[in-house]
Amino acid sequence: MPADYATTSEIQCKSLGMKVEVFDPSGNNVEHTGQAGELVCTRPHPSIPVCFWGDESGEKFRDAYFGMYPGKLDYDDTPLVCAEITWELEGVWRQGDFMVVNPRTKGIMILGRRSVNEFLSNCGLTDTLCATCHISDGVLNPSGVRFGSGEIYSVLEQFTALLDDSLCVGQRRPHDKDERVLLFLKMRAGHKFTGTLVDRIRSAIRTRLSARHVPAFIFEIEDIPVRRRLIFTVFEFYLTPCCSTP
Amino acid sequence: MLQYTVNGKKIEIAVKQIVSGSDLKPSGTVANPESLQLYYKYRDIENLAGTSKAKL
Repeated sequence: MPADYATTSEIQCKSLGMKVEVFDPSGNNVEHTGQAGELVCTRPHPSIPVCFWGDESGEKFRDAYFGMYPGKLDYDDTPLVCAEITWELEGVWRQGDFMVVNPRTKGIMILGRRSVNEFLSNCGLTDTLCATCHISDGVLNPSGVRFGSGEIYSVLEQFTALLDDSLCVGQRRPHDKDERVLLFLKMRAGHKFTGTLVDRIRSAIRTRLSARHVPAFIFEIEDIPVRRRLIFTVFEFYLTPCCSTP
Repeated sequence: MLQYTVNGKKIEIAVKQIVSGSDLKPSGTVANPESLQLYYKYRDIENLAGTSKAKL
């Protein structure tokens, strides 16, 4: 624990051994500007997982964490050696959350994915920040424009009255020269997927992001796959009688 | 007793692989694995876009 004062909603300092920085989409450090950006770690750190289970080629793992800022890092530090494994990162570790450093206190706020727009629009530095943390979005790279699907989801937040959920992915089949972006929309009950809605979404993405962010195709879909999540609550942990079924 | 929630993260990577031509076996942690079947037809996107209700 750092011997320093604490500010509501802020982490007092970076963890020991973690070279945490804040990057904009092009990979510039915006840590000292007070701007929100990608939470990245630019040096190997002890808690990097060895691999994903079943991901033998390591492709999923690289895609998940090093896909956004790839390329060998040019730093002179000695590589971190841990047992027999020598870590040499294949890029900058991108956690998948937004963060911002309060320029006044230097305190860190982790914004997650979805709450970042609320945060920016409110522009107060507290309150909305602990809301939701999504480490969900993948990297899209159509025609060499690199961005995260979270940017699309952020725009779609203004359509939540109509949309139950959405999924934005890149498509690149073996014969495709380039990646294209597909957006799948699951409508709320009682709402229709219409050409007008598609036009409104395209126009919102064009205005808030850019024409190059607009998905090549927008489809209606009946269901979106989600990950099951195991939960333990403190309540269950302490209060479940020992004789309950495992 | 173990409890699961279904408000987990959406699974982009599986859908990305499906629409890009890989067949895949859904992992045990997908809450609604049958939903993945819906995405196979989007591999043949050129034909689909011409005929279906998709709006381009």
